[in-house]
Amino acid sequence: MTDSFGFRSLHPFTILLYYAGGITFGMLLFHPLILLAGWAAAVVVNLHLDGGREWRRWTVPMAVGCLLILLMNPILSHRGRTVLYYFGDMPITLESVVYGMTLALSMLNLLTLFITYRLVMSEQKFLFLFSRLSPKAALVAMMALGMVPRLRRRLQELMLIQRSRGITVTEGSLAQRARNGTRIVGTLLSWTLEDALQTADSMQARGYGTGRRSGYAGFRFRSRDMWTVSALTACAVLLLGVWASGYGFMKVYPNLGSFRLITGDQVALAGYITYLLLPLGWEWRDRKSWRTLKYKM
Amino acid sequence: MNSKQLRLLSAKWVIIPIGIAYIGLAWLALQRGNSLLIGIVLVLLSMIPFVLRFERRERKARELMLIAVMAAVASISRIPFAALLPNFTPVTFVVIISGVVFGAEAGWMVGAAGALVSNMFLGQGPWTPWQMFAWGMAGYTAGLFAHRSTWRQRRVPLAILGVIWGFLHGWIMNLTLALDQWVQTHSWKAVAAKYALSLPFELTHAAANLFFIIVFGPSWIRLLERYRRKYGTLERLEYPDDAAYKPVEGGVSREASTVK
Repeated sequence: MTDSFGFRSLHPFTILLYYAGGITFGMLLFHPLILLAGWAAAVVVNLHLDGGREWRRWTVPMAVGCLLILLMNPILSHRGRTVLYYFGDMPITLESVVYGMTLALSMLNLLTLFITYRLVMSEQKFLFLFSRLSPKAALVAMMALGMVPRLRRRLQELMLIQRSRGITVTEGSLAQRARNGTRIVGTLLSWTLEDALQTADSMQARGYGTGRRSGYAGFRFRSRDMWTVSALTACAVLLLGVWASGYGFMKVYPNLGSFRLITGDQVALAGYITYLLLPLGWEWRDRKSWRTLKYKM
Repeated sequence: MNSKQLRLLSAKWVIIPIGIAYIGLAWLALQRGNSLLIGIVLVLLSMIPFVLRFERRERKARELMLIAVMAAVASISRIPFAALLPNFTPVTFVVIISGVVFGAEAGWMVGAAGALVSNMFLGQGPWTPWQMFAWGMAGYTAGLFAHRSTWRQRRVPLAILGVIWGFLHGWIMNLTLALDQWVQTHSWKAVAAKYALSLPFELTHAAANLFFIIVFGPSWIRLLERYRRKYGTLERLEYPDDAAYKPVEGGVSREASTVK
């Protein structure tokens, strides 16, 4: 789907605020139930954005990572009062198991959120934000980004041509292959450097560095951004208040607190879910208006 | 100062209050036994001095282009290896060589930009700032280590640096979980056990660095040195105010002074 629809149509600054807050609270609200709910919300966002395609692609690596954290924590950390089991003479404590579970959920929540980040925050939006803060570094990143596909194409071309001369990396002894690899990559490097410096000279000739860099900003801060930013800020202030007054996270060590969500925790949960799902309002609104438009036609 | 400049300025300065607020928040979280936030806040803040320094100096288009090419080469070299064997990447090698030939600052930029750009293809995540930091520092230290000394640019010293960075890179990437382990248990044994668990990955990375530096190192340094000389960019001797670029004379005179 294009950048002019729903969540993705928001201004890069709004999107940055959303992710900064989502990640911060995903780390602060250290309670398994809240994090589980946050993960579910992030999955819902994923389903809205691309039908969960990208999310499914990442399920296996995410599951492996979380499983590792889940298994490793009780083995590494023996803190806690309630011993469940002695593994040799190593105590496995309930507290450590619960802590590992919460940490794994926190990571799962963050990673799921990051998958939506990749879908929403396109490279162009990111560089737009970045170029305000650091124009030269952003220019370098942008040029490098543009060069990657070109280099890939060139490498394939080079390998094809060199193979006809008998220089390949797929045949011969290991030393031979390494030498051939060096030659091919060295050729790629000098080819690219040669023509990159021509590009640089052409930039110079067109007056790079003679004045302040101007830029075309294809993003407008619209009223929907205003609404989203205000609502996100309100949610964030509420969450911070709740968190600062001691709710929204669980006491694990030295002995496990209760899983039960008391009022403060419930507010934190509701606030976090609302925060994560807020931009989907625009997704729904735009879908509805598209349907209406189609109906009229 | 017109309104546009004012806006640009405020965009930069707004970082300071945000940074202070985040440090406060992360500190409070740490007091409550949650160390997740403090690591990422500190690693993000640690990049600011490097970026500021990079911005402050006048840069010629050629310098930026060279750095961009090296970052692109680092990114592209990561992509085929990512699927092959985890942690066997030539990125650290490319970054170290860039630092050696073009200096510490350029090395940092190549490392950080390479991490950022390659993750635009492989997937951004909470690991991006850590990778930017680790690779940036690899380039920076390589520049400090060997940029001004010819004998340290030989195979063996660089290979040692590469092996060290193979381990350091993994250790930096582990910091989040190690810090968390420390906050949980306050036992160095648990932290050491955490690091011991990931040792195979670090060994792979160190082996990759060793291999690439031994096989490609000298030839790449020669190649890049040649381009640096040929185009007169990122010279070893610092010329603070050569913002006005002179195509022929500048190149020749700088060439002469390097020989001295």
